[in-house]
Amino acid sequence: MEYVIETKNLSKKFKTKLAANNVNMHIEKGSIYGFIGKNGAGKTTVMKLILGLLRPSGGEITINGSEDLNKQRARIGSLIEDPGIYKNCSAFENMKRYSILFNTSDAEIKAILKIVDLDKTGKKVAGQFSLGMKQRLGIAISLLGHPDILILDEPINGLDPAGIKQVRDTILRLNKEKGITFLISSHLLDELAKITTHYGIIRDGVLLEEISAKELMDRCVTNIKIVVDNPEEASKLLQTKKLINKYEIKDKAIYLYDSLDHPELIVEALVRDEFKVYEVSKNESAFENYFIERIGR
Amino acid sequence: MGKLLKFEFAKLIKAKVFYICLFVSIAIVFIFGLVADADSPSVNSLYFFKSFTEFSLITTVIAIPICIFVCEDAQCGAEKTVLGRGVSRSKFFFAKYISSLIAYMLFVLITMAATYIFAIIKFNYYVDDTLVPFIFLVLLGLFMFHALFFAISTILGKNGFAIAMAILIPTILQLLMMLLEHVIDLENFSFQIFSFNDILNTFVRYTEWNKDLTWSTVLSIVYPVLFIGAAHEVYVRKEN
Repeated sequence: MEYVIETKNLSKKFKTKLAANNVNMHIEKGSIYGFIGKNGAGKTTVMKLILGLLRPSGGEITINGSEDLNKQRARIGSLIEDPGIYKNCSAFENMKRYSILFNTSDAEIKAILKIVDLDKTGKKVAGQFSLGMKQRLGIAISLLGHPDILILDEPINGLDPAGIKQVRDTILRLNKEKGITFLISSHLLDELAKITTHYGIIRDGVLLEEISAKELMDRCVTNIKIVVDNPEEASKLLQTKKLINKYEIKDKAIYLYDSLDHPELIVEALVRDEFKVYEVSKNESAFENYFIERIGR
Repeated sequence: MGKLLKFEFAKLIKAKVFYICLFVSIAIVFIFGLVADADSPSVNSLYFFKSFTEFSLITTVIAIPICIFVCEDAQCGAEKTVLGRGVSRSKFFFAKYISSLIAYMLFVLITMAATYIFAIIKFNYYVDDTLVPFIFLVLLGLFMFHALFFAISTILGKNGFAIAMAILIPTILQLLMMLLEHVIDLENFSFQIFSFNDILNTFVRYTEWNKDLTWSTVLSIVYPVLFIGAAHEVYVRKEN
């Protein structure tokens, strides 16, 4: 597996608090890695450690397989906390200023501004931009110099639904069209779930789990649990009547993964054939529960 | 380093606060000149030029744009954007130092030129061989003030606090030296020579080379080395 960012036992201690505790992170090339945790869980600390804005207390970081981190960091764009924009400059002027550092032409600047939908802001200074526009300008700045990786810390925090959608669409477009790998932190699970290919769950500085979106969906699929006196026979009956297709039997219960819209038909069929139905329950919030169980309430 | 310097200069050119403060500084020269008595036989162009510099408002006004310029990147998040790309902290620090020093010196030279032009227009023209050494010595003194403002801004990182400290610290140091002199009464030695204002005043009063002038010259080189060295150490160890 090719990892663009990998950390081994990465730790950061602030006085007595261990903000990152032996973090072993693996970010695959071309992935959108959602970094999930409550406020203060250590997401920003890990991101800053990767970017060299904080010095690690222990552990190792490799970027693109190399330990020459400063050289590799030139290939990473970032948006950490503040978007790093000059309020008295227009979007173009902000980009032009940063372009000095990244050898970017005016044509490229205009192309990037188009990607983030800020190409028509003209001479309006960034100080007068909405929060969403500022965030998108921050993303545009992070795109200068053709980075392979973007690290975005809470990029949708404080945005209205339209702003969230714009940022989300921008991220998806950049991932698909330019193959950029993303590390995005957020505590907005629903929004993150719409774009993420991999998840890292952090709690109290400890990276509890790394999981792909596919594995997560397999674990968190919505189901109906039916507790019945003879689950094997009952499931055969329901299959014969073509009421169920995908199911499993465990702990004396049938777990149905399809036919979820009409549980009353299933119960009716079982009762008619004189099965004793003790419990019927629908588990709808498995995804959210999965995270809440791990990151804490 | 070249790119970082260009980046900083691009920022300087757009910094309105520099132009506003330059305008204020020149306006002060004009007001100061207008109220001076041009008919007084003791007031000539050189006297006005030197006494305005001694008035030293120039060191107060310039503190504002320097502190704002140095703190801006840290306050708006640009510092994180640049350093996150693997740019060396040392290089970023010195790019900022060099660009702000050039801006500071330009500011001072423009204000001095305006003062000189105003002086020769309004007052009796007089110049002697102290003028050129005077200009160099004053620039040396202001080089020390720039290092102080730069170090304060780099260490504090917040422009309001930095401006307040940049204006207050020279006065606080002067008061401390006065207090020290009061407590420890040494014959033939004044602690005041360590104060920034006294160093600048020694330069401004220059007529011929003397022991005080040697002390002030040495200190105006030692202080910037100490300030910039300390600020650099703090900056490279700083975490964002």
